[in-house]
Amino acid sequence: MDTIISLANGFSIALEPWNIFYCVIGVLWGTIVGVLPGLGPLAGLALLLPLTFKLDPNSAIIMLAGIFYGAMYGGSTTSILVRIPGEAASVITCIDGHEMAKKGRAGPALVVSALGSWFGGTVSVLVLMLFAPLLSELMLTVGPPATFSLMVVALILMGLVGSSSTLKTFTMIVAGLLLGTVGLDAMSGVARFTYGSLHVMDGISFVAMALGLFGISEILLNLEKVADLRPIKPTFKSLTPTFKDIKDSAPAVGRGTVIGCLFGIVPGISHVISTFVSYALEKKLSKFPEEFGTGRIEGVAGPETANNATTGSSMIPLLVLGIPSIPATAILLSALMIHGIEPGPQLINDHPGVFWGLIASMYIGNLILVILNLPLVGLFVNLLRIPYGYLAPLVIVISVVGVYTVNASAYEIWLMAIFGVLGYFLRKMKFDVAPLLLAVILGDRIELAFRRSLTISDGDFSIFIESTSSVVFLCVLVIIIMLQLLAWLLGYRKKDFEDGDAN
Amino acid sequence: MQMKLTLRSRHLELSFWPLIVVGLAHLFYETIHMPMGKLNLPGAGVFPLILIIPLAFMAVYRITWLVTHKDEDTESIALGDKNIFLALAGLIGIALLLDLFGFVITMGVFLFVTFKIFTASSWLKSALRAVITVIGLYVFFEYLIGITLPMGHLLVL
Amino acid sequence: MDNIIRKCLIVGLSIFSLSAISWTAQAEFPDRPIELIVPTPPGGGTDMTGRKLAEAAGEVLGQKVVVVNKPGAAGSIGMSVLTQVKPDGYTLAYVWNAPLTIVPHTMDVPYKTSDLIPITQVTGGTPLIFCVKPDFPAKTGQEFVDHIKANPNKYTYGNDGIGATVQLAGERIFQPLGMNLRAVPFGGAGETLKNFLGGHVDIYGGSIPPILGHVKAGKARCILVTTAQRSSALPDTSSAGDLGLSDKATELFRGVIGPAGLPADRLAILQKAFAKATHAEVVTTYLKKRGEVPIGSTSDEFKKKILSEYAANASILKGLGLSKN
Repeated sequence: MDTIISLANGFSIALEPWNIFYCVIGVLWGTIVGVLPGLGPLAGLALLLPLTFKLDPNSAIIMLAGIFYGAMYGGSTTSILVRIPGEAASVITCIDGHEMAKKGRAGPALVVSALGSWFGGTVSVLVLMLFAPLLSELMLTVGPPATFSLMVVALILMGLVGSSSTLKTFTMIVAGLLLGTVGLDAMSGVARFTYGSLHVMDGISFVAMALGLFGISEILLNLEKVADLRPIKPTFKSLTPTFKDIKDSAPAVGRGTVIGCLFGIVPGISHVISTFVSYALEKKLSKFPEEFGTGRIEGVAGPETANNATTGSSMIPLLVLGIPSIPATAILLSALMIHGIEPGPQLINDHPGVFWGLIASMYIGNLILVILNLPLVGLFVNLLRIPYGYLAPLVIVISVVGVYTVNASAYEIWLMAIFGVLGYFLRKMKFDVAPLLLAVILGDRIELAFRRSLTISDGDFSIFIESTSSVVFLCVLVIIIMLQLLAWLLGYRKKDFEDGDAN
Repeated sequence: MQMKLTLRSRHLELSFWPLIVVGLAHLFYETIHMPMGKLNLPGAGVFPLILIIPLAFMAVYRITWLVTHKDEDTESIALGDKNIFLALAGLIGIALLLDLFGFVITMGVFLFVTFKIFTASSWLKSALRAVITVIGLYVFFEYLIGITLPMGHLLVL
Repeated sequence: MDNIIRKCLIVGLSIFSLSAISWTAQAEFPDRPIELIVPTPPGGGTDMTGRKLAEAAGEVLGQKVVVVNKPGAAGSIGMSVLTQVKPDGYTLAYVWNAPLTIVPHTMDVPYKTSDLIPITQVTGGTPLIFCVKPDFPAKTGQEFVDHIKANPNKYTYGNDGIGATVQLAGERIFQPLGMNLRAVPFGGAGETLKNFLGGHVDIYGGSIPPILGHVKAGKARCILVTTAQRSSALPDTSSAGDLGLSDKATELFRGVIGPAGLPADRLAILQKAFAKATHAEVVTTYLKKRGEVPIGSTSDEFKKKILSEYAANASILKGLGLSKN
């Protein structure tokens, strides 16, 4: 009952005309920075932050939060249209999303991902509203040992993502983990594989790697047959999903939402992990697992829903505990502090207007986003009308701007070019590059969580089974391995340790 | 202009995996010079070492497989194309010149050349489209989005 | 039709070439915008205060001061860029302690702290803090020291990275007192706080604002600040000065520095401008909200401060085995 009254108050704040206006500005801006490769919610927030100094705190936080979850919507657009992952959370979307676009089905892919995002996002706000204090307690129990166990689960599931042969997928995963070790070792300060270059100290930039391996390599592959590439002429009918599309994606959206909300308790990485857990699950449950990677709509709907379903949870540490769990919420935190609002356990009691106004605005914002994004689908799909000879250079220029903004140096452009060539050769040899990229993200985190745990326990391995949450994840791991073994023993898994042509 | 290289997929792979093995050997050498720590408190070198070894095994396994299964390969792969070389040359040019000449000039020239060659339209049309595109992008990024694009050191003096 | 296009092209190209040749007559310094390198990603404390400062300094100098983020390698990438630019005063940097007083000890960087020209210290006085759970046996700073000494290698403290500011500020006090704690590095204050509240590490090490709310809620108790004076936000917490270690105190500071070879007359103009900007109302109100004190020192004062902390860190890092020498 209290919740309803508070929420009603929240809506009375969020529905003030000016706040709706700022909400629209925020989500619109978020969509734009999400669509542009290389720019993400972080850059979007930092660029717009100075404007919020003069607003009242409610409007400021409503607008900034809008950028944050709005960017999650935009991320899928370039993945689907030009196979460029706007950020880590939309790497998976490239796989089936772009294949759909190639078949002239970019429209349904974009519509389904917008609708899925809306559903996942709205449910996650509901979870945030009802269970925030409880979830925040849960989040605190996830320390380094549990993080490590979860990462191992994620790594095992990643093997299911790739569409190449088992050997090649494993090669990509291990190579990705190895790439992730490049840079300064955070536990000892030792420089690894840096060859004296300061640029490599923080590791290989993810943006340059993603744009190179996916975007540039795709352009290079397409340029071989640029004369044969006819622009796609979308018709209204090809823009709208069919009944079959809806029927196929609805269960994926449901499962994606659950996955996103569950993994949300490990903020910081959950938006990425949830996407490939969802993808792996859809592939396992599907009657046509071999069609994944050739444009299955579930492969877009599930992951896109899952990453939006984590947005609510990633606000919980900020709102309930005052802890910025990801860089984007760190900017929200400093915005709160500028307005004299002390984030921390008292926020909900001291500033109910801010908390409930934000919750209400997130319901409204998600609705605005879906209303905004559906007509945009038509506009975006029309970009594919541009002949490829013009589109390719344009995409290269925008990608260069994207990597250049990372640290305003040409080094990132070199890196993107190198990974572009690497991606070109790998894909010629039928390697799937998605596991490589995801493994890079997990690489240093999995190692850090492991070594951090042992530093905390002073070298005692029992720390991994002492924490309840760690044990939970380890049990999940054992179950997955048992199921896999069982299926293998019964001969369901025909794929051997040799080359299969799944592409 | 014919710059295509056509080869069997197993030949491509047979030139790829040995490169990986050589690279791994080098990384192995780098790794063993890193602190290893104790068994229960691993140092910086342990994790890379754990990864390099299975990767090397997989590479060797694959090479053996490819050598022993000569007849299983029927696919031929075409590599390279003048458009690809042009795109890469353009990217390298951008990397070298962006800081010197700034966004507008570097990108303008890149767009002009690629438009001209990729689409085979007239010089004038390509130039006009390149100029309009680059100015549009400049205004969009610099003023609407608020990113500081490189101005070009040579031009500021 | 073709004619029109050609004309448009000529006009366009001539506008280009005109804008390209921006002849600058000899005029008062500065006669064009100044680039202020901030060696962190956008959004952090240094970036945000830097942007406020740039705004105010631009008004004082009559030329725009443009913030350019060049993050990476604990700030040393931005600093390396600074050493490569022409020392004409048009490219400066705004940094915090670490790239000046820590990183040159631990990494092979292409700059020497002594070569850089400090312009003015902008903020200072911000302490770092160590906090424990409410049920921790020690109540005061001295009890804390005694308890740790009685239980060597037992307690863990979270910090913001190996060889980063928090660990060094802590060890500067712990080492001379013979306190043995295990450092657990995390990605930043947020992650440290989360692991401290979750009970995964025993002690929180970091800046004050993130933990203040939890202290008020009774979830944490702060036991030691690294400055010589106690903090106004937490007057009950012992300071390094209370332990008799005023000379081992560390505070977070930020300031403007220039490349080696900066002409003296331009240094004077810039010092005056940035010191004035530091005390501009937009900047001071903002700094106060963040709990930082505006300073605006002279170039020599700032240089002395940097070099003394640089020297002190040398021996601490050697003790931790993190020094590259």
